[in-house]
Parts: sequence; structure tokens; C-alpha cells
Amino acid sequence: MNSILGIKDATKRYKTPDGGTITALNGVSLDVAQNEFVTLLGPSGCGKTTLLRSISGFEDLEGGSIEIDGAAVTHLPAHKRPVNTVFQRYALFPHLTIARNVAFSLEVAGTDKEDTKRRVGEMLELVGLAGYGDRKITQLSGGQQQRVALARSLVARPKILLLDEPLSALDKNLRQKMQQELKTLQEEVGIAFVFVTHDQEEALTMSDRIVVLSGGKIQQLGAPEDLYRRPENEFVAGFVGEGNLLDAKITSVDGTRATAVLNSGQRTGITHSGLAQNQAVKLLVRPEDVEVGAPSNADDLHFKGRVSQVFFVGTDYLVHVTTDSGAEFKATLRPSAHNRTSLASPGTEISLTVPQSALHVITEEKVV
Amino acid sequence: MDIRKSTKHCATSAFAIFAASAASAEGELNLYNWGDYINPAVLTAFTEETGIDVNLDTYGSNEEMLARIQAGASGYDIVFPSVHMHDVMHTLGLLAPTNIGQHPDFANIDPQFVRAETDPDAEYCLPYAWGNVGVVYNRTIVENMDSWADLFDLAASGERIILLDDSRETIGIGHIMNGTSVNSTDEAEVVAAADIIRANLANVSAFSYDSIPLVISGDVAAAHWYVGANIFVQQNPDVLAYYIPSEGATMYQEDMCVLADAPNMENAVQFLEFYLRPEIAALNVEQQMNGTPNIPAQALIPSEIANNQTIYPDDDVLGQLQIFVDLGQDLRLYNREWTSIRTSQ
Amino acid sequence: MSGLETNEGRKKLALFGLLTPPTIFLGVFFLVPLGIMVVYSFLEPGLYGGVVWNFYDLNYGRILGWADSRYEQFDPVYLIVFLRSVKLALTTVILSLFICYPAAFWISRMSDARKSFFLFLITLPFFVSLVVRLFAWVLILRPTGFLNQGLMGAGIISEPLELMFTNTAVVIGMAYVFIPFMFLPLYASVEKLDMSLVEASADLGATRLQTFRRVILPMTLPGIIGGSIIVFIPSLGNFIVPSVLGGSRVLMIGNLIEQQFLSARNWPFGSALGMLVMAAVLVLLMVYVRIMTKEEEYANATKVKEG
Repeated sequence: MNSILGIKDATKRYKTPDGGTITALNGVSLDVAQNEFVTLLGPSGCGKTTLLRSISGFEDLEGGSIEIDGAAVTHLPAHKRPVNTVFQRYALFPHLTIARNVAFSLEVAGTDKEDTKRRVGEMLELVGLAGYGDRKITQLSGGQQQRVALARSLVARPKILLLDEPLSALDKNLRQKMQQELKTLQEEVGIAFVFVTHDQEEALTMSDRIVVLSGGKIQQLGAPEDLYRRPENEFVAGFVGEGNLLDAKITSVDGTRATAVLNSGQRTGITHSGLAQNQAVKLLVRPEDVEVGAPSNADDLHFKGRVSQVFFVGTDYLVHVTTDSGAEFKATLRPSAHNRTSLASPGTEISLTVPQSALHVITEEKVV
Repeated sequence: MDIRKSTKHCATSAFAIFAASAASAEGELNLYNWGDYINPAVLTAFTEETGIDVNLDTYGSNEEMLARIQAGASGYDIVFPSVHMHDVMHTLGLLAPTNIGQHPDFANIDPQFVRAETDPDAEYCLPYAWGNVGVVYNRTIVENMDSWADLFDLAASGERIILLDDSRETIGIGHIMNGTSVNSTDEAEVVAAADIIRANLANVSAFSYDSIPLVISGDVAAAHWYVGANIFVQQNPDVLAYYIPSEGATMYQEDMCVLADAPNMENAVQFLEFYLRPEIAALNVEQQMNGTPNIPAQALIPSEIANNQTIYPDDDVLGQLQIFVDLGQDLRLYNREWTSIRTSQ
Repeated sequence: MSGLETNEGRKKLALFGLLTPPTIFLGVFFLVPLGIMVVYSFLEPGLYGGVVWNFYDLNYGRILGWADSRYEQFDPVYLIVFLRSVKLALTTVILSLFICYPAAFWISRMSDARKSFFLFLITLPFFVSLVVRLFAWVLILRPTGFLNQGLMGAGIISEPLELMFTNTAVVIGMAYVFIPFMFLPLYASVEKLDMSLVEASADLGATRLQTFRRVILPMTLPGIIGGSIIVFIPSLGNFIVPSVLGGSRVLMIGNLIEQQFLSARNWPFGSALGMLVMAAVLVLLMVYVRIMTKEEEYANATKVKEG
């Protein structure tokens, strides 16, 4: 892998006003490849913003190192690092025109006027704002300001573009449109994007790889589908997408094959390495993998219960079911054309099947 | 133009003295006087005797007082103009006749102090107090001085001196040194007098009324000041000394006048009559350390004041003291020269 | 008649009711005195103060050059004093700016409680009489004063510095008096400064100096200009500081005006000199209004439209 960004063992603690300390980064290591779109995902306070600001140079690490394109930048001030940032609220300069905003990094670097003018023009064209150069920031909508911020950060051809929740101020439609545009833009300019968000849907949509952070530690690092299908721990399973976690106990192990027994007494065969007899595990079931009706395979799991709540989420219904054993269970059901309502009204008796192939074994507790 | 005060100048301060006795139905009396220019004990004594409450406001210059009175409805009963301002106010019809000159006790007043040309028989005002303007110096810096020439020599030797921030007093020094009248309206004489100040300007630290504390601390060696400096000389006899320069000096005199629109006319006249008493005039001098025109009072004042040659000088020195008269339009000559003095650096 | 029935009419009435008192207040306490000054400046001086109601252009003639009689002579000294006052006032502005600008940044970074405390400290001098505070400065600056004693005690100087009754003392005094007027508008604009803009500038490769020149300075310029004007105007017309700390050896236009009213008995000439200051102030205020209009635009710009 051709690494453009290498972070090793990054550590950072803050003092709290009452004298305690908060560990914002606790030994984070990460490599980002040229052209890669990497998202730092996590709840607020997980360390994702601290990590981003450590890359841009606004936070000084206590331990660990950062390399950009093979050069150590750990203690380099922000203005000397070959990275640029798109800020959460854009931080456009209100006293400058759009063109001057975009030209800012070129002007401070002493680029000659002709060259600056040409590159600013190209950038404005790239973000779809050709001809807007002389306007004031006030005359732009939120989405247009977003594009100016992008143009301003890209014009100096940084090696990495850092984006700090840049879409959070936009409404949902515009946000989805910008997500696609950002992805396209990233492919066009061909540099690494490091994107911070707390919105898992956004992360799943745009990223080549996602870094899930919690408590200053990387919980899992992988492609969106990996994270969704094969979360390594309970935290990731709960944070990325909706899911049902079923408690189970391993009763017999045979190589990578094992048998698990649920609280309800149902048994199923699973495939997972490193399991031990009597080990407690969790089985993850995504709501969309749940089917209505009785199982056709002996290893499939079967639940009977009563619909407690129904949410219409567009094409599907998200149905909350209280099983006969008292557990909550979530299932995404797509009604057939001739039966849109009967299976999805609260109070209805329902029979659900989880195919054995849809079970994912989680052995690790939440890691904090 | 001049400040008749014996302690620190603070033209902005205005305060009222409320008599010690309980307020009475006898009414009140409103005085408008120079800052610190009457012994509060005099007012207390008046209130105790008559039951009249006395209020006191202060001003910093004759012009300030005149402007206030001309504006009308001041509510004041008695003012203390300098002699030339007494004339001006009489001409402007601002004063009320009191016939104080007819009062039997007016015999106490030395007739030479009935100076106002417009009021030769004291039908209006009572001569109040007088004094001279000389030099106060720090004895730890300079041993002995007795003339204006000494003052400027001292300045030329590198010591700091302060002159009064007053056009006529300061240009007046030039007139005295040139032997011309401090009331001259001859343009050449005025310019020549101003030239004396201009010639010494580089060695004059400041034009200010607030020089006494600086002379005491030794930051300034000597200052042009009023006879009231004797109060500080008495308090710091080893440090301070005051003298009337040998070339001559200016003197000032204020008269006590009742205003034409005085709301408490009777009380005001009563106060003038009260002040004719020798013991009251003496009480005032005791604190003010200035001259009184009341002859029997001079026998009652403490001997160190009565015998102080700088407060009650001999007749030959007295004869060398000049008093300012109003110059009318020609005041502008002095203002022009004064502006020129203050703008040259 | 019809107007009061409608909403629009009621709004107009309310606006009228709200605007009338300040209009009358300004009219009575600002425009009328100003009008009196303008009229007086074209009248003949009265012998004992006041005015004689004859049209008279020599008050301006004395300042601007066409007066030539025994009593009314043109003298360039008035313009020289005016220019000298402008210079001293500008020096005061610069000195107070250099003190207040870093202080504003320093205080704006404090916790709220300390901020309030420091803002309170800055307004504290207003509780003590100005004359008393200026005499305190005499005690500090005189040759045997605290400053000289301190410097000599520390071995920095061997002879006392000549500060008292100099231009320097006047500038120090005026800067001291007017620092709150400089600080408050500066602080308002520094506090409003969005620190993310400073970060953005560094992120885009600007050095600290470039960030200051290209972002911080233009963004706080309205406060700098506002504070400068609010300090410049009263400094230009000040007469108390030059008379106490300058010992009247430092003459400013305010002293000349005071002298005309309080000792020279020439109200019309005092008014004419006052109009000279007024004209300078008006020009400055027009500049100020233009800049404030610009600031309004900045303020709007910093509000990012949601969505």
C-alpha cells in the first residue's frame, strides 16, 4: 500500500476543569493510502475530531508520531503541513470575495498573479461556481458556501484533504447530494480524503474505509461492508446500522464449527474460529435478514411474538417485535404488493425466521 | 483670572456648608465665592447668631462667576468680585445698593480700600480682603531670594520654576521688571512685557496654580504664588519661604457685593454688617492669612500674621504693589500675547 | 383618520411614540447648543463676555487669514495649535491602541468570571474624579515621583527623567483617561472574531504574521477605527490633561477654547475655534459611519445560512 498518511500510537490527554484527565486519543495507529477516502466515525467525544486536528496541526500529540508522504510532521505547525481542512462551519473569510477566499492559500504562498487567477478559475469551475468569483460570501446559500470551502482547501493541491463534519449544517436532501458530489470530487482530484462524521449512514455511503473510534481507541478499521457485516465487537455492531444481538453459549466445538444454544433453548450451528466450550457469545442479526414464517432449515432460528411498534421507513417497515420469551426483536419487512398492512400492525401475532447464514458471531465485549 | 485661594485649586469642587445649628425659619443665605476663600468658622458664627442657614458655592475666576450671574436666576445673594470686576458688574447693573458705607461700623474700614471707581462711597459693596502675589520657594534648594530677577536666574541655573496660569499676572511680571504699569494698554509696552516671559520661557516648567505640593517636595524650586502660601510656610518653616519681590508685585482685592436679583436681600445685608465687626474679620484672617481692610481687626489677629511683612508689608513696599483694573477691549492685547507665549516652545 | 385603524397605522404610531423622545432630547441637548455655537461664531464679542448681535466674520478671519486690526489679527498660531493637537491626539490614539489591542485578545480568552472582573476593572477609574486621578499622575511622573524613584532604584537611569509638564506626560495622561473608550469597542470586535477563521488561515498555510495582516486585522478593523475615533475626538478637544500634566506648557486647541470663554471673555472667537474642531470631528464621523456600514455586512456574512 502506498501510504500518504501514517499515524503511529497517537496519544493525547486533556485536563478537565475539575482536575481529572480525559484520554482523547489512546494509542491510535492508522495508515491512509493515496486516493483513499477514509472516514473517522464515532459518537461525540470519541476522539475523531482530536485525531483530525492532530493531522492538521492544531493539536500537539503527547505521544506517537505522524508522517505525511514519508515526512515526519508530528511537531510541525499547522501552516507548514501539506494538508488542508474543510471546517464544520466552513470558516470562510467574510471580508473577502469568493475568488479571494479561494486564492487565499496561493496568495500567502506567493504564487504569481496569473497562475493564481487561472487556478482559482479552475477550482471554481470544478465545484460548479464558475462566474461567482466576485460575489460576497453573504450572497451564497449554505451549499454554495460548502463548495467555496472545498475549492479553497483544494486549490493549493494538498496531499490530504481533511473534512470536519462538513455536511452537518446542511439539510438532508442537500446533504445526500453533497455526499455524492464529494465522492466524485475525491475521485477527480485523486488525493486522500480524511472525513470526520458521527453519521454512520454518511460514513457507509462515501468511504473506502471507515475507522470506528470510541473512547480514544480504534474499535474497528475496515471497508463499510466489513463493518456492517462483520463487526468485531458489540460497540461497532451497535453503532453501525441497526441490529439484534442474541445471547448464546457455545456447547460444542469442532474446529471452526461450533454449536450455540440461545436463552430460548434453540440450537444452531455456527462457523467461527477460536471458540471454546461454554464460551458466552453474541449473535448479530441484521433486521433485513429476518424473514416472516416458519423456518425451512433445522439450523435456522425461529421466534414467535407480537408486533409492538411499526415504523414506515420508505420502502420497508421496521417492525419491533416482543418475542414470547420477552426479548425485543427488530425486523425489516418488505410487504408484498397484495399484502401491505396485515403483517405490520401492532398487536399482530407474528412468526419470524432467522436463516443460519445471517448469523454473525461476536466474541468481544464492548472495547472502551 | 486669578485664584484667591489658600489651599489646593479645584475649580470644579462646589460644596455647601450647612450650619451646625438646627435649620431655622430665619431663611437662608447663598454665597458664591472663590474656592477656599472664607473661613468656615465665620459662616458657622453667623448661623449661630442669626439662625440663617448659609450655603456656599465656589468659582475659579471672575469671568466664570460673571458668566453665571449674567445667565440670570443664579439664586446667589453675595458674590466676591475683584475690584475691577466690581466695576464691571456695577456697570452691567448686576449689583444691589446696600448703603453699607453709611453703617456706623463702616468706620472700621480703612478708606484706601474703597477702590472701585464706580462705587466711591461704598453704597454697594464692602471691601473684603486683599493680598499680594509673590514668590514661594524651597529653602533646601535655594538659600535666599528676593526679586523677580532672582527667580529667573534660578530658572536659568537649571532649577525648575512655575508661573501662574494667568495672562495678566504673568505678563504683569514683565511689566514690573520693565517698570511699566501692569494695566498698560500700550501695545509696545505689553509686547515688551511679554518678551521678558518669552525670553525666559525655556526655563519655565509650567504655568499652573497647583505648584505648592511640587515646591514642598522639591520637584520645583520656586513658584509664582499668592500670599496665602504663608499657610504652607507656617506648616513647613524649614522648607518653604515666601517673599514679595523687591522690584514690586501685584496685589489683589475682593469686595463683598450683594446681587441685584438676590433672593435673600435682607439676610445678605445682614451678613455684610456682620462682617464689619473686627472680631469676625480677624477670625477670617486667622485661617486665610491674608490682609483685611478692617483696622481694629488688625489688632486682634495673631501677632505672627500681623507682623509678617509679606502679609502686612510696610508702606514703602505697599506703595510698590499694583492692582489690576479692567482693560475693556484692550484685554485682547494680553490674550494675544498670552496665546503667543503659551504656544512657543 | 383611517391610518390608526390598521396594523400599519398602529405600527407607525408606535414608531412615532418611540422616536419622539430621543429626537426631542437630541434636538434640545445637541442641536440647539450646536446652533448657538454656529450663530455665536459669526457675532461680535461683548465687552464683558456674551455677544453683540452684529454679523462679524473676523472670528474666522483670525484663524483663517483675513483679519487685520488692532484687536483682531490673523495669527497662524491657531492653526498650528490645532495641528499640534491633532498630532497629540493621534499619538494618544496609537498609544492606547497598542495597549488595548493585545489586552482585548488577552481578556477575550479568559473564563467568563475573570472576563467580567477585568471589564469591571477597566471601568473602575470612572468612579473617581478625573482631576484627582490626574493629580495622581503628577505624583507618579514628577522628578521625585514613583516612576523616577522606581527606575533609579532599579539602576535603569541615574538622573530623573523629565516627564512632568511635557508632551509625553500629556499623551500618557490622555491615553490613561481614554483607554476605556478604546478598549470597549476593540474588545467587542475582538470577542466577535471567529477563532475558526484564524485556524482556517493557518491551515491554508499563512504564517502568524500573514494571518494577522490578512484575517485578524481586517476582521477587527471596525473596532480599531471605532475605538480610535472615540479616543481621538475627546483627545483633540481636551484641556484638563494638558493643563494638569502639561502644566499649560503643552497647549492644545481645547485650552485655547477654554481660555476664550473663561478668561479672554471672547465667546464668539471661542465658538469659531470650536467649529474648527467640530468640522474635523464631522469628517471623522462620516468616515466612521461608512466603516460601520461595512461592518454590518461582515456581521451578516458570519451568519452561515442553515441548509
